Amino acid sequence: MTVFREPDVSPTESSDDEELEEMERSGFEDEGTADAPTIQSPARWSSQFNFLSLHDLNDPNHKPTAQQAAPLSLANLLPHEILLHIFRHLPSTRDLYSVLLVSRSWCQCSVELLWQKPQFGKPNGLLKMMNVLAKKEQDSIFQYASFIRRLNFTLLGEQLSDQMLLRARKCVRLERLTLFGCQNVTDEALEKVLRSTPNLVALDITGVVEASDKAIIAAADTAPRLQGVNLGGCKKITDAGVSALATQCNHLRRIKLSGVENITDVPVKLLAKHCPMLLELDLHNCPLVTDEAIREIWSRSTYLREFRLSNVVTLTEKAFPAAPKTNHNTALTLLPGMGGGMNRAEPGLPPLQLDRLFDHLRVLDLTGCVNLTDEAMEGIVVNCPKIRNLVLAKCGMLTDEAIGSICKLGRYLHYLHLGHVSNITDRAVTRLARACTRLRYIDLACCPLLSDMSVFELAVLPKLRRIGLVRVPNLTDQAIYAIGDTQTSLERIHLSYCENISVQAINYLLQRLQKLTHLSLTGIPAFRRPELQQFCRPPPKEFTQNQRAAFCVYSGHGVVELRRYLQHYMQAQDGGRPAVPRNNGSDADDEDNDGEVDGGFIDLGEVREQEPYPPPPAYPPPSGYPSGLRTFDTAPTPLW
Amino acid sequence: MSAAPQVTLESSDGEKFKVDKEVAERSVLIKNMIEDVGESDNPIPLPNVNASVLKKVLEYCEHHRGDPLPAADADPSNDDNRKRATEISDWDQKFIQVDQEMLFEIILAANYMDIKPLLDVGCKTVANMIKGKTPEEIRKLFNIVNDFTPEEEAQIKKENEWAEDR
Repeated sequence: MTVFREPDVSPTESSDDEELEEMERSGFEDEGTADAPTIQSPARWSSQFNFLSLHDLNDPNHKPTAQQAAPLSLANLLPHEILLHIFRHLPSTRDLYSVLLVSRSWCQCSVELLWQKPQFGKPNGLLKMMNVLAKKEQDSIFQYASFIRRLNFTLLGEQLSDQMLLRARKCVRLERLTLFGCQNVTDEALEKVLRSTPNLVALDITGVVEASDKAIIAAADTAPRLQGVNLGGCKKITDAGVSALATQCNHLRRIKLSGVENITDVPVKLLAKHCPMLLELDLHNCPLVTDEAIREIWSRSTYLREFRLSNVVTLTEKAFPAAPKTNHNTALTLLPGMGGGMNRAEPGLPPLQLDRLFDHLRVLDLTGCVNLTDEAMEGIVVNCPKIRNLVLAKCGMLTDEAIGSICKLGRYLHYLHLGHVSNITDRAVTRLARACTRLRYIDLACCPLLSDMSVFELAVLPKLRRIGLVRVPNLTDQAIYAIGDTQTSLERIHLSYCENISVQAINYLLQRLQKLTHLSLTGIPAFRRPELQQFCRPPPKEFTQNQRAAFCVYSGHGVVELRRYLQHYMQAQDGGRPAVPRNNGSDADDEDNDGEVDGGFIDLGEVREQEPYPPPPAYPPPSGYPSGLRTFDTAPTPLW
Repeated sequence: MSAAPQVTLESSDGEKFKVDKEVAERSVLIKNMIEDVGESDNPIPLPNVNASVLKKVLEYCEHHRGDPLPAADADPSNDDNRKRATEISDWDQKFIQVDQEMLFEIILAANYMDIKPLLDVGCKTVANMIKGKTPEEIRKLFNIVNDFTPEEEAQIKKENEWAEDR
């Protein structure tokens, strides 16, 4: 169950960010402190049904005849506490439902477990459950509403009406309420529900566009133990609502304000001041927030793990902690008393000096913080030495120097997005690949200065799962062969608009990388043919005709089919020789494979005159490739 | 070398078991009794547990004598713990392969003697037996009497129907 969904974070045109979301979709699961206390007693029958408990097993009217002779088995006599204990080990709704119908005492001991965290795969079940809550309590066998600790209406989305939602008012023990995308809920209904749920720990109203300060103030007034709040896209909420949360709900750990575009520095400063346990703060698309408030967070929220500031475009380097040496602008050596930049003539805020490391930070998203400088990046890395995910897409001012700072994150860094950081060069990427050896994901989309050399370096990273190289125009087949040669763990590769890539190189890649689940090749001329595009997934609906024609993204089974097609096709063209003879355990055929190169290329129907499949990669690599880094004597054997 | 301190336990049917104190104290009930009364040579009576069950329980305690004591606040309703529902160690698995009456006797004894890990093993075993079965199959398996009235059963079904239709 997705308890808590995130809005799309830092979208870039280069490649999707699903992995980041997956990694970060930690939800509120770890707020164990406020989790449902163990159910200690069986559920009580509603008063009208109390007489039923008088049914004794000895009641002659009630005793099933088949049982008359046999003495009752121990299973009939287990005390309630033991039944509860047994049923707690049944996580599946289906099993609990079966247990519920076994006997009266089994029913009493399982009903609350069944209702406390109801989960649904389709809307119908949820609707039926909510209809039971509409009944008068005395007409129901149990007071079901009081059992419910979690409600998630994401499945209903826009179908959720106020009338339906208002039934949740009876759920006085509700701890988690998720209304993701329930856009037809009104502020009034939401307010009423939030006034009735004092035990709420987590609230997600992402996309409940009508929600206003009124509802949020109700939550703040009523549920002081709130720990996680997601207000993504609730544009009507302002400083008043978020300030109420900050001042009244001091246990707040996660607050997502993505797209709550009217908030200013005021509530952010209050969060820093009143919520010392803050673990996660998302200010994506909050353009009125400035350096001042962000500095408060760095100064006070020492436990922060995830910090998203994407598209807070006004931020400058002053928003970020500075490296200990503060005299950036002068050649003076640091003298005692000079710290804090007091001597600098610049107006405005002094460099921010933290008195302790910000070493809980794992995720920092600065997408589109266009004023971010190399110096700011230096300060960030020095103060936050354990960043795991770093998103710097569209931070266009950064240069190789910033990458030099990032290298200091070393093995802590797993995820790095540098899309559109267009100044960076092979030198920086080389350093990065050698310093940050545990990188799992790297995106270098639209970094036009990079060449094959960067890919040679990245290809040896042992844990690499995804590599984004969209619109790195200088890439050639050599880069692709290098990936195929050394990578075993890669799952996703984005190569769209790398126009020089050939079908043979991709074939090689596919035969080598058996774990590949995603391959994007949009805009590569060699792949713009129906017989190859037949395996790609359908283009997004909003695409124009031209975009559709160029669209070429293979995922899941499409990758498998493309692999199979190319393998057969290439084999057929090559007189039955295996497509990839080298190092391919499945094929023993490695007879002499030299000299078969020329003219062996295949015509897939539409090859342009001057674009025959290029000759096989020339080895050793071209000049510029540092010798001795990696030997290429195991280069792919040319086939065509 | 002095022998490890021992205590004597007496089952409901009068049989006496002499065991190491460390083994007996896997039972929180016994541990508390020893603490309250002080060590004595008098046997500790366990009027709710007969000899065959006590023997079995002590076999468990002997095997687990050195285990760290479970955290008192381990909350089985916690999702994480519920996910581990099926995980029972190999030895425990073998140990708990007994007939149904003995299984329930062990659970009752573990509950009475307050031996939480044993109670968990027993309850998990019963839970695993329940998984995937219909109500009728469960009744048959454990010989349980359906004591709902037909009206009551119908209404329970109706009010919880959503659970079928998830």
